[in-house]
Amino acid sequence: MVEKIVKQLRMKPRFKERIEHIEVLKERKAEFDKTKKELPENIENYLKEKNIKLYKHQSAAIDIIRAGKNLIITTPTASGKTLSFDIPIFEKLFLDNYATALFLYPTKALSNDQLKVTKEIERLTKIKVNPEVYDGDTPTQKRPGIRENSRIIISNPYELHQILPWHYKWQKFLNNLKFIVIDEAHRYRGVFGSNVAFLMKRMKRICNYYNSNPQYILSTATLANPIEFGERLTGAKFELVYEDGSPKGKKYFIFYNPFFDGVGELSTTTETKDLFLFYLKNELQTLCFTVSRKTAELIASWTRKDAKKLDPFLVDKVSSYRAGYLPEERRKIENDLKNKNILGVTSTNALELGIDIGSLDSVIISGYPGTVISTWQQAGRAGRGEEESIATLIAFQNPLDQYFMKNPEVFFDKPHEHAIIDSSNPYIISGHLLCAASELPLKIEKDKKYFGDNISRIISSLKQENLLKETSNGYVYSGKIRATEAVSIDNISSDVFKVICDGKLLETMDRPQAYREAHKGAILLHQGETYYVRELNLEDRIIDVKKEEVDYNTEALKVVDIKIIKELKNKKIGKFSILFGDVGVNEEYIRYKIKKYSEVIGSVPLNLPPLYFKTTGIWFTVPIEICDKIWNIRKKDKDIKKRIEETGGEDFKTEIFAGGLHGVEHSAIAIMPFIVMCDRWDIGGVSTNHHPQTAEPTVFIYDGFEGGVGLTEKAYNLIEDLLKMTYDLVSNCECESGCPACIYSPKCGDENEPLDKMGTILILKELIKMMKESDEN
Amino acid sequence: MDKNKEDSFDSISRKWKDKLDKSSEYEVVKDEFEVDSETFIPSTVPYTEYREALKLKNELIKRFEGKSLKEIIEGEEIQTDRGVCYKIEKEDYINFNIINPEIAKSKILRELKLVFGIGEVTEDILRSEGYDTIEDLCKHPRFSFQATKLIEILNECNSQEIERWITHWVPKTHPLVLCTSSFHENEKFIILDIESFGLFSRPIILIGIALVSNNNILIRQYLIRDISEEPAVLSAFLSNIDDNSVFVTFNGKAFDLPYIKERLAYYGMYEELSHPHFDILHFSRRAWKQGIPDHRLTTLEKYLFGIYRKDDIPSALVPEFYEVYMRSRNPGVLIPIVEHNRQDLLTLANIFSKLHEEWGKW
Repeated sequence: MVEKIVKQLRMKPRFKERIEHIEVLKERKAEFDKTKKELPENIENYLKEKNIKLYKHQSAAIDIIRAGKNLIITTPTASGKTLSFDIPIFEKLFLDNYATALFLYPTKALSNDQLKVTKEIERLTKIKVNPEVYDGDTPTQKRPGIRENSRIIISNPYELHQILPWHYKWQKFLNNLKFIVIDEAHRYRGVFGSNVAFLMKRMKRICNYYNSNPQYILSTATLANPIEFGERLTGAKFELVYEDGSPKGKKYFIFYNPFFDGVGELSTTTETKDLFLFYLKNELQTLCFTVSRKTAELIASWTRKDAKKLDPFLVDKVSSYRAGYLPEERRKIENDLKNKNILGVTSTNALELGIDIGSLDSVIISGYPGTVISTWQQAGRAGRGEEESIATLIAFQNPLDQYFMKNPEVFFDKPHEHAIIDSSNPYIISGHLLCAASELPLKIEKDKKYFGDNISRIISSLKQENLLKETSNGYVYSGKIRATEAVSIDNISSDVFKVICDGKLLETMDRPQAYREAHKGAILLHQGETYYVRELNLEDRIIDVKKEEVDYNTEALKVVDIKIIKELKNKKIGKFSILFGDVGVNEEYIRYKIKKYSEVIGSVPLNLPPLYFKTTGIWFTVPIEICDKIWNIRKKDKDIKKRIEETGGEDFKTEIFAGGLHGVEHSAIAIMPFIVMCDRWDIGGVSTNHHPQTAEPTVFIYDGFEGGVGLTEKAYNLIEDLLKMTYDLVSNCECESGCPACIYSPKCGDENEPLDKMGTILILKELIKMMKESDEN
Repeated sequence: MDKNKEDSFDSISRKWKDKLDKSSEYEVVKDEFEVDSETFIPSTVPYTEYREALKLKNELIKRFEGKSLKEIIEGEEIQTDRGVCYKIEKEDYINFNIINPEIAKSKILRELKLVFGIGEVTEDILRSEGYDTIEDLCKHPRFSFQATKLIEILNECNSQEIERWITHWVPKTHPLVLCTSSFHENEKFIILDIESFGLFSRPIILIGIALVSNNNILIRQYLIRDISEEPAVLSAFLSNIDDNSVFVTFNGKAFDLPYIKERLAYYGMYEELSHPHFDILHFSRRAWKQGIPDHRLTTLEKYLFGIYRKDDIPSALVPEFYEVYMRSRNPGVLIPIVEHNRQDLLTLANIFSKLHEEWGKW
């Protein structure tokens, strides 16, 4: 049936041109295997009762855990990962009546799913473990009982962060802790992941204090660097299981491009709705992933509206699903999906994680979700057992989406991203040192092994600021609020501004957002309503707004300047040099535009202090001779010739050159998420014809986080790939003089001016050429 | 190590410092601000009290500059197995009346509902049949087993066992629960109150206990002169506790005791401390429901004993006062901390006695 539907798609005039590529992923038979050593009878009986035969990856995982080693398993969603660690954990808890295990899940919904599974295994194997969820929702009265009686506790990193100072209450559980399971571990990457890694170090430190040495079990999506990632996240060595033994049906992976002609007649959202409806009419149960909550709602509601006219039966078969819904609502949709009561669901990435909804016939990914990991996770939701399925990636007009549409082979050849964890970010370390010092006195010699060699210097500066007190028992925390309250693990900024309307709190935002969106005179959007900002009080961090219906919006413009603080690394590739180091970024909002739709009707100066932050970045210089070289080529081009004539022979070679550099910066940033795992908004850049410190034309790309999070550091190592891919992106782009798909940036502080596409291509070409030239002369 | 990295650590530490300086565990509020009577740990400080405290702080700093601790707060350095700390002792007269254990026992025995299967209706029937006490029930065909068991427990005078039995049938704040405290000798009561750097996870500054003997109350306070002395203070406190000790606190079930246990575990000095514990906060909320705006200790003492404290500081400001001492070694700022704690202990003992008086009447 699926094959027939794909054929139809290929033939329908409405769709066929937009299909850029169809990759057929072959079916695969199940591979089974036995565990090396027999399982205890109660577990064997459980497997029999559930009619489960272990796949080879499950047996391999069980063998590793039984051997006492740390395991990281990266097989896809629905391959039975959970069972592969539940079995050996239950075995251990059966053999040792005191043994305990801690499961960490990134969301409450997943914790509850796991609770259900664990309870069932307990019931059927009769191994008493009293599994319970222990998180922010657990009532105070229930907590002591859980700590006392539960041998499997399911929680999340946020809760663990709060629990650690209370370790004495957990003594019994911690003394006997044999396993720490971190499921969906790939979620803990980047800044958040680095925080979780230090949380795990604190946990390890407490476990050692209570003489336990738990085994780690990590379950993640496929990553480029699973073993390294596991080590970074927990500080332990890992064995990897990645070969999937579960059966898979044939899958058609369709690349669908609404902008195939470079123009795009219909928006991505409209196209998504049409395809969604097409699959539903063909009775394919379909899950449609969107990049925002709003589009999830829009697509569902448009689909229902169309269905009313075309196929009324479908109207009640479509639903949307996202964060913000009540848990009961979510449960209902999950069950309706499983029981096939509904045919189509639109969802944010909330359903990307392993929530139990069974498998579907078809998945639509409306807009590249930013990482190969997520794309495969989402696509993996399609395919029941050995049945055929479809995954459809629908492109946005942005450069990354377009790049994949034009170069699908790159997507399918591309290894999954690296999951980045930075164990040396001093900002993150110092926060966790404060927490650690409130859990047990810090001792440099003893605690170096958890927090690294820099701790004595960090401690001494924290002591200097009176945040840690040196005592004969070690360093003790004595700050004004609890350390775990001062340090948050998922967001290092806590410089929070309150938006107040009529004396009531409307929302909160951090400082950069306040400067950007809530400066005096700004129009602030909140749940579809418009608010006029009367005052931004920097001292009290209060934003005073008034509800007002207006027909315009505002947009603040910033200028960025950058300073090299310290060069840390540099290398030469041929004649091309790339540098990496600490940089200081000064961002200043200088004025804002008043816009009606997208037309600018006014501009007002702003008087805000600059935002300064220190981070890490890469930079490279472009030989000034290239400026002339480009000009000599460009001045023969029609567009430039015409301009020269119009202006009476004016020379604007510096403008063309600046436009080229600027284009290199934008397009390289656009390709960065593809090179290192991040969002394009995590990265910033500056380009200039003359930087005072390098005294040459220079392009900077930097991490958008205080202290840096290893993003550009990784790009430093992969600079050749970065520049080559950037070149491919821009030179293969079918636009004439730049477009959102290549050199236009959605976040440019200079209104995308100047930009010169030809200049960009020429500079990139020169840089790549330089890399190939030998540096001998 | 290179200079820049050092600078970066310093600037990051300064950032944390700035952040922490901006945060606080209490909020200064208008004087007429209504204290939420449901929260036991006050997180607000009325403006006048706050201003008075700051004034007092400055006066003390001026007055006691250059003085040593010993000169202005009488006490001695003591040695413990975890180092030294400062001990302050003061005796006082107290009119301490605890219900006689025999009376307490007879009160419990009159409560037929403490026996499984007896509700209001059955109780009325039993009384009309001449069963007035649980002792009488020992002869009852149906209830004798349970009644005999309860009497056995009562005769053992194990207040925790008795409490467990009683609270199965009546609320934890019931007067009968307080009655079980009579089964302990007065000398075994450890009336307890601590002062600390905040709401958990930071050092304890002072542990104060009050011990009662006849009409004499001994206030014993262990003070840190440096955070290094915290284990010594904990150890000194533990030296007062034996198997038969009984804690009497004001909100100590939620605050003082878990706090001490947390700090003991912090220094690797884990102690169970699962002694009988009478938390007076809950009883007083039941006893004096009407006419008292909130159940803070200072409010209760005003209403019950007409005590208006002079030169007192709210507990929330203790850390700030102590910080001054750490920075300047000027011991003047310690006076209100020690006095505040002493007055809390005295009032606590008096409320405990007052409760027995009130609930002993019927």
